[in-house]
Amino acid sequence: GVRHTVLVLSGKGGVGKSTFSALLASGLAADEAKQVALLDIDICGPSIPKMMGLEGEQVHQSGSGWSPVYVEENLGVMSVGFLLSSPDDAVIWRGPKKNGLIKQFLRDVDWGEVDYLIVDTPPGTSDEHLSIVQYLGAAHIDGAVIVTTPQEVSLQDVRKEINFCHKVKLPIIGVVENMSGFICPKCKNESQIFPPTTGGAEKMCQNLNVSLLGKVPLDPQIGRSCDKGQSFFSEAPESPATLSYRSIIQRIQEYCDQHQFQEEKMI
Amino acid sequence: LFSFLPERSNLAGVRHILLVLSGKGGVGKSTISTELALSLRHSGKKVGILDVDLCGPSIPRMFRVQDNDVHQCDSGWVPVFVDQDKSISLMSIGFLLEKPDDAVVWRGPKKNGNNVRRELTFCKKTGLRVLGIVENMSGFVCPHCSECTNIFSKGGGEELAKHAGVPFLGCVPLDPQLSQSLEEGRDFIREFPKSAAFPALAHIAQQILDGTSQPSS
Repeated sequence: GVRHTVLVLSGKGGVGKSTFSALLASGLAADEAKQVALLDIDICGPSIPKMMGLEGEQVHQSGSGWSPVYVEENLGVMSVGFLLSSPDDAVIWRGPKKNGLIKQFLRDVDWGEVDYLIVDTPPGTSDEHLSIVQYLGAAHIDGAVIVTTPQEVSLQDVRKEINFCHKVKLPIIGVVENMSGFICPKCKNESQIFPPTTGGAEKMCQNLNVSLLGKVPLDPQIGRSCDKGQSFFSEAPESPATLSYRSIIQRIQEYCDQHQFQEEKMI
Repeated sequence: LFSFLPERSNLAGVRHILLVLSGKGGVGKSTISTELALSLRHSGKKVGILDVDLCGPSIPRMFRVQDNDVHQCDSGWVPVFVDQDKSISLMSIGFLLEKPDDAVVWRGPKKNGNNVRRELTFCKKTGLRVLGIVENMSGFVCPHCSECTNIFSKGGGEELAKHAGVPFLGCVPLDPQLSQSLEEGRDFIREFPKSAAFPALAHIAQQILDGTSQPSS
């Protein structure tokens, strides 16, 4: 079974949600004793295969269900991207067929025993989000991590995500502020490329009583590693972004451990 | 979209219609739409903006009209004028939301492409003329030392344009002043002509003007 399930949400597209999901899964799998699974249900925009270096891989069916594709022995990935014959294929899914596929992913993938299941969702609030919360049941999801940039346009959409989580009783682990500052590789001065004119995620989290898990700065190496399907943490172990990620991942682990402890207490 | 075309008469006064597309979310489509509108206005044109981003309508805030209401009159919905001169008017789904923090969950058929190639295929299939490709967030010049860093890689837009046989309109660099202007609903084109992104945005607008100077069929 799956011990901990974390949904990664964002209100807006292009804030780095899939990048975050991929790096969260990779970071958790750095501990070889943990079994990690990454599910990409961004049905119309599956970027996870490319980021994990798994483009062109195919899914196999066995007696026990669909087999995930393994990046490492302890890191398995499932994505609709694996079902497309070419990366340029447009995927136009309509309602029930789309939700049927999500249910299949959740029910028929043979994950085995997994410590962490990370689910990369499409941006916004849509059928897919309702499906997954309904199917898994809000009680069985440890919580949601919401990714944003410092801009008000992004925060505006995060507030909608937070309201959605409250409505479907999905706990919020916290918010990650991505693209938070840039350190020039030459002169080492910091610039705020996306100025937090309304206080950024920090102020919003304070106002809405939600945890700010951390801020991740821009780093050109992230994009490069993702484009090549390589591990950013291995390519840039000293990057400020790597340090941020490690701290954020640790906080997520601590939250999940707490959650389990509380569940056990209730039994 | 095609089954909801308004009556021909409401569009009779519109000389040119441009669609701003992107395969992927978050690339700056609303930003480019806004800056293009401002540039065209500064060239003396009257511009209308229709923001049909169902799940994340960001354009009202970019013109500081996020708190405006829309009204209906006999001839239909009245767009919001964003300036005193009434040279830019805006209609956005954002005006129809009661509370800005309400989640909007849209059910049913939705077309999503996550790749510019798919958008180009869409244009080809529907006979939509592609005026060109803009590569946004293309490079950042450090204001302290002028070193240029390609934070999100560079060149893919131009290469794709060449490959697909469509014009390449230019690279727009990352510009904190542009980001800030959009947050505050300021007229970046008028107020920050010396800023990093200005030359590229002005050049894109000029190419659009040149490309549409013949009457559309």
